[in-house]
Amino acid sequence: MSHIHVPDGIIALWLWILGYILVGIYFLVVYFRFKQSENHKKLAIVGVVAALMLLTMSIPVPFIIPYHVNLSSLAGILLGPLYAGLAIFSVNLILALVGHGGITVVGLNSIILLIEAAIAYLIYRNLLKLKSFSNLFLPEYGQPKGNIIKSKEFSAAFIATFVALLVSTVLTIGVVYAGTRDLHNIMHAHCCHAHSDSVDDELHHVIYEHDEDFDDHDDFDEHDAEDFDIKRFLTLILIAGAFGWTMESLATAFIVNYINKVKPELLSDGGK
Amino acid sequence: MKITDIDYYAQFGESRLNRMPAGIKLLAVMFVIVTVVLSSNLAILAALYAALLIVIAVSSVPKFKIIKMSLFPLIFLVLFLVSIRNISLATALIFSLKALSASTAFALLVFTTSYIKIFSALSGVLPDFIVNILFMTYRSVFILAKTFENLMDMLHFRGLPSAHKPLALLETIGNLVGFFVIKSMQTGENMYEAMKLRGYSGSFAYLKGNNGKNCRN
Amino acid sequence: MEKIVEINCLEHIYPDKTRIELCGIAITIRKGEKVAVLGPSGSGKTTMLKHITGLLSPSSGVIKVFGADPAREYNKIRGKIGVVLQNVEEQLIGPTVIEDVMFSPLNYGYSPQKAREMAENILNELGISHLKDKIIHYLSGGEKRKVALAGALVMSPELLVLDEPFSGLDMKSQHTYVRLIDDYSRQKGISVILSTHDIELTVDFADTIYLISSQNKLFLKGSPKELFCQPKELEKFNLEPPAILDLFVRLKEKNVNTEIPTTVDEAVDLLLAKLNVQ
Repeated sequence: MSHIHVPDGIIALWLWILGYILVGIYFLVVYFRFKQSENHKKLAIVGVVAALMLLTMSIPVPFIIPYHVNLSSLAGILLGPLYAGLAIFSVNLILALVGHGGITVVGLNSIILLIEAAIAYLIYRNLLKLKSFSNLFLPEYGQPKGNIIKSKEFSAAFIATFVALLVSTVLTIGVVYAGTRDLHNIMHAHCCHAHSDSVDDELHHVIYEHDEDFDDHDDFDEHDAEDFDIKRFLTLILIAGAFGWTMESLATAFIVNYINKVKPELLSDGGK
Repeated sequence: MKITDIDYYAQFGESRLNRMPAGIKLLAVMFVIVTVVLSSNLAILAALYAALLIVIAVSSVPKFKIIKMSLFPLIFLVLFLVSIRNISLATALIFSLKALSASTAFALLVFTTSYIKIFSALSGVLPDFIVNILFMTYRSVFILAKTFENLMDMLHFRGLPSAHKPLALLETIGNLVGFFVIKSMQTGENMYEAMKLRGYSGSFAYLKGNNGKNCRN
Repeated sequence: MEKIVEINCLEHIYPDKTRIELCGIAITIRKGEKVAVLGPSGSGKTTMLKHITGLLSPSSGVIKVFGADPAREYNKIRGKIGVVLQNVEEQLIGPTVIEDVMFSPLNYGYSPQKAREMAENILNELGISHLKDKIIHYLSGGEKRKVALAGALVMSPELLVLDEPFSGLDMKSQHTYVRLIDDYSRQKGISVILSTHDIELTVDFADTIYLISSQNKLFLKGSPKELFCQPKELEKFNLEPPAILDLFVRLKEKNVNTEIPTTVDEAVDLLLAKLNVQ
């Protein structure tokens, strides 16, 4: 799950407010669409899917790195992107209340995960409609037996989830980058850069008065200044991400495979 | 920590915080968030966090559980702090205090305030249908929790494939979750049928929670 | 007396091709009548109740509830029918008891004040007003069933439909629950139809019992006494007669001249008379 677990007070004010504005627009769209379609049953199912997402997050996958199952992409496949977003928002809000991610980033999180759910839904559906894709799984095309590729639904779910996660991770990184551009205001408040307007001079002297490294500001080397290293952040995220995307895509694929065997109409009804 | 367990403390806790009106607690949390968002002053943030810890210390709330829950944001924060070149102690402390103050405030809130009151308060800022989905989500968590517990018990009794067989492990978990999804969707359909039988026709005329007036204190 | 429910040769085919046929007997429920439907699992009891409540539409056959086709015209009759489903958890939606019971009145357009008044009245009548402000998921199984019953009765329906209302309850709670339903239905003159496996509970309660076994296409109808005095017929439905009836039927087979009681009190009186004990 490309969930922005950024605590409160880090992402810039304008950005997380924008996140909430976008969520507000999304609510309006859902409201009007719901009024048109009168699909009351879907709305009732949304609460259950949200509960499902919350509960399955506590299934521990015993691995080298602790990992938890997330169902944003599956929610997209089951509910369709419009209603999946409602479940995602509920989950994010409840998670924020219990300390998993800041309350200020609920809007941004919801939008990113809504995009993830939408991409998963669209890729899944369209792959299954593609004859060339379905043909890969016909016996005459030599579908290997006994390996992990169970069915076209399995493969479609894997690809859909992987791509969705890739995109949402990129978005997450973009959001974190955009939202932390102003962090120098915080960081340099306690740095030795004497020309920064954000420096609290009195505090600066209190902290650094006796620090020989910073006695002479003229000798200050800007390369020693604190700076949010987006490349380092990106590297860390991508390393963790590659593992996470694969795990989650496989998990979702196995889940979809099971549902397809037992109650396939749940997968084909999504979005209706 | 399970949501159901947190809810139990919120409902049946005997501390003064439990008895305090939800509105005051929510205002206090808002104050903390505003301070966390707007302030970059180490002293202010330290004082804020200290105040929250003092509240935990003097209240008869489940202290260890609250503090444990409040530390969760540090996991991501570490990732974030590692990405800052030449980070100073002061900067690290500021970010940490921001994260911890916010998470501690929320932990105190959810452990001492029933979800009904929290969602009812949110009905002032969120559309009705979202608040109703929140209520239904919460109710569904409790309905599904039993099924979920049974699944976890089954894992305990029957075991999972070893972590050395990652694909088998994932397939087993996938099947379990798939089963759980199907049961849950069936529950959702049953809930919808029950709602229809009770007159539901699309508009959530109720579930405003009456600002939690009906709840225990 | 006015017919509330009429079912004639109902057939339903589920998406997985499971076929339920209720064609052996015409099922009717009259005003004020209490009907129990007994049968083994898979016999079609729940299917029948789902047709009465409009949740399912028959593949063939006729079903009328208050003169309307429930699958197509449930909106017309919804206010007259109260339903308690087998799994009450899925039926209790509100966060607190009072809010859950207010669900129907509010959906029907009553003002919040009026809805609250209606909810409080029914909770009082059922003797559970002390649960009013409790959170639903912390109630016991028996309390949840009573709350579900309150939710079904708040709109003063003319027909109460209960699907396996006693499952999951201990013996004492079962008896309390059946007495609650019985007393209320007598007071208000409402018709009741319930499905159950539990023969013992239906003896006192039901005016009419239908035994159904869709797979074997077996159907029987009668009063408790009429049906339960035929142990050989009951065997075909995988049922055993209530213990008290069974005892007296066997005594009768042994040429003991006695009536067949349906309640323990009746049985005590008969035995005392037989033993010439005052």
